[in-house]
Amino acid sequence: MTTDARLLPERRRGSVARSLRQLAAASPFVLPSVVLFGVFVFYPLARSVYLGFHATDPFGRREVWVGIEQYRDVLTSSDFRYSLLVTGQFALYTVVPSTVIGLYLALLAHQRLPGILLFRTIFSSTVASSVAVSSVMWLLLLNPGVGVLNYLLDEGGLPTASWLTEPRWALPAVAMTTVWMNIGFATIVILAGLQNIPEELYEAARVDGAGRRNQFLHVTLPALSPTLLFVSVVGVIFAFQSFGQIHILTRGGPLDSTTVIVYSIYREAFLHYNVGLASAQAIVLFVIVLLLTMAQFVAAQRWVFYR
Amino acid sequence: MSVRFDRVSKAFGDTVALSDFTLDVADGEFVVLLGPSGCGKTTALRILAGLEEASAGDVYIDGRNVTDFPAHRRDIAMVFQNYALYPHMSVYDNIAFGLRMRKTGRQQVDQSVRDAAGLLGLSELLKRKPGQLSGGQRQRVALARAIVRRPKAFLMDEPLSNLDAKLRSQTRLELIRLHRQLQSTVLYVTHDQVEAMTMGQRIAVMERGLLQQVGSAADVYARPANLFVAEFIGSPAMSFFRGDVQETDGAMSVQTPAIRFTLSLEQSDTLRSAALKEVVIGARPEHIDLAESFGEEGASATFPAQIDVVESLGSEVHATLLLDGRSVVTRLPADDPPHAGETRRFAIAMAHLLLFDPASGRRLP
Repeated sequence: MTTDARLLPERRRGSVARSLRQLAAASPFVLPSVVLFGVFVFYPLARSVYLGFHATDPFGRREVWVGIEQYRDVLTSSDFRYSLLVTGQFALYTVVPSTVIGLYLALLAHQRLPGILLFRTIFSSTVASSVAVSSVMWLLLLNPGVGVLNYLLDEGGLPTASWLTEPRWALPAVAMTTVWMNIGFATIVILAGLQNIPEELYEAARVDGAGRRNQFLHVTLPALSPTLLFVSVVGVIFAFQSFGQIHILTRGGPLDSTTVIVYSIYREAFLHYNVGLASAQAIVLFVIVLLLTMAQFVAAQRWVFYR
Repeated sequence: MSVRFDRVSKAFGDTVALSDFTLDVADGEFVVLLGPSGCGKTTALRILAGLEEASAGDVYIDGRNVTDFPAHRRDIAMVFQNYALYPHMSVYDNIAFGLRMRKTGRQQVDQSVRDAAGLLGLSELLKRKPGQLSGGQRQRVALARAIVRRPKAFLMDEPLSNLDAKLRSQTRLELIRLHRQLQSTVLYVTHDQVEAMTMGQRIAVMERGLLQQVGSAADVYARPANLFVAEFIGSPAMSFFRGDVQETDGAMSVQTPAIRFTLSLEQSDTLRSAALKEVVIGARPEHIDLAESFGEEGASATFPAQIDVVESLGSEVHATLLLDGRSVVTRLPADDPPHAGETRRFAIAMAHLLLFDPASGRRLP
C-alpha cells in the first residue's frame, strides 16, 4: 500500500480532533457508571488506604498519621494470621464442594427429560434466597435440640453434635450452609456452559468409540474448563467476602473458630471502633484476594482451554 | 463391508423423517444419498451410525443385525458437516482419539496417525489446534480422523458444503482418489447433484422420507423413475409439457395448448397400453434445439417461441423460452446464439422424450 506523504500530518491532526469528538460523544454514556463506581467503590477504596495510614480515636474523629505501622501490626498479629487460616479453610470447604456439587447437578439438569425445567429451577433456586434468610433457615436445621439434622442423625443411629457451638464443628457447619447457598449459582453457570458444547462433538466422540466416561473426560471437561475456572475464582472471592452467614450463625465463635477476615474487620471497626486498623486489614485482604485470583488464572493456563 | 437397510422407518413425534427405507450397499461401493433438505437422507445416515434409533426396521452391517448396537460398537467412521473436531485437541490428538479410545498401542497410534496425516497432506500441521486451521484444512483433519481407524465404512454428511466452490471440486477429486485407494464402503449424503453424479457409483434419490430411485448417475439422468427425480436431477432442469393424448389413424400424438407432439411407434405402444387421457412429456434442455440447426428429421414437435433470457456460460448458452406462460430451458451451442426478445422456431428431439403418468408421477416404461 502506498501513502501520499503530504496527507499524513493533516490526517494525524484530524485523528486527534476526531478522538476528542468521540470522547465527548461517549462520556454521557460512561458517566453514570463512573459516578456509581466512584461513590461506592473508588472513594471507599481510597479512603480505606488513607485510613490504613492513620490511627483514629474511638469516634473516628481525630486522625493521626502513623505510616505503615498499622499494616505491620496486621501482618505480624497472630489474630490476623489465625483469621487468615480460618478464611483459607473456609474457602477450601466451600469452593471445592460447591463446584463439584454444582457440576453434578448441572449434569443431571442437562439431561433432556420431561419435567427437567422443574429440576433446573429447584437446583438453581438457592441463588434467589438471601444470605440472611438462608442463614436463619440453617440456624433452625442445625439447632441441636429441635433441628432436623440431629433428628435425622439420631434416627439413623449416628452421633449428634452441637453444630454451631462446638469449635470442631462450627466452621464446617457454616461452610455447609455456604455451599448450599453457592450451589444455585454454580449450577446455573455450569449448566449454561454445558449447553454451549455442540452436540456434534459428543456424536463424533461416540462414533470414535468413546463411552459415557470418556465423553465426559475428553469432551465435557475440557469444554467446561473456562466455566469451572470462573466458578472457582468467584467462589474463592465469595468465601473471602463472607460475612452475613457468620454473623447470624456464630458471630465468629466459638473460640474465634469461625472468625474469617471480614468478620475480624467488622469486629475491629464496629465493635472496637478501631477504624484505622480495620482499614489496614481490609487493604491486606484486598491484596490477598487479588494475588489469589491471579494465581488461579496462572495455574489454570495449563488446563483451561478458551475457544 | 456391506450395509443393508431393511424397511427402516423413523418418526420424530408426528413428523416422519424416513419411511420404509430399504437399500443394499455392496462392499467397497460408493453410494450417495441425494435429495432436498428434509428428505431423510441424513436421518438414514445417522441411523446407520447409531446416533439415532430407528422407529422400525433393521440395519445390517456385513450381514449382522446391528440395530441395537451403540455407535461405538459399529466400527464405522463419520465425517460431519461442521467437521466436529475437538477444539481443545491438536490435529494429532484429534486424529489419534478414535484409536486411543479403542486401546491401540502407542506406537501403532503414532504410525497410523502419521500415515493418515501424510495421505491428506497434514504432516506439517499436526501440532496445530483446529482453531488455527483454514476450512479446507479442518475438512482434511475430519477426513484423516475418519480414515485413521481403517473402519468398515465411512459415513459422510455433506462434508463439502462448508467449502468454497474451488476447494469443493478439488476435494471431490481427492475423495474419489481416496476411495479408490482405500477400497472401503462409503455412504455419502448431499443435496448437491453435481457431487452425487460425479462421485457416486450409485445414487439413491430421496424425497419426503421415501426412496425414489437407486441407480448410476447415467441411469437416474436418462431414465428417471418419476417426475420428482426427473425434475431434481439435471441442471438446468428438465421441462415438462402436459397435454391430451390423441389417436388418429393408429398414430398417437399429444396436444398441449401450444405444441403438438408426434410420437414414435414405440412411444405410441407405451401410451396405448397405459390407457391414459392425459400425459406429461419431459424434455431435457439439450434435447430442445433451434429448428434450423436440428432439421425436420427426428423432431417430435417444432414450434415458435419468444426467447426470454439468454445466459452465456462460455462453452454453451442456456436460453429460457416462454411457452404457454411457462419457462422452458434449452441448451444451445455458444457460437451464433439467439438474442433475448427474438422469436425463433425450436424443435424437440423425439428419441429422448420421456412420458410420465400425471396422476402417479411415474415414468411410463
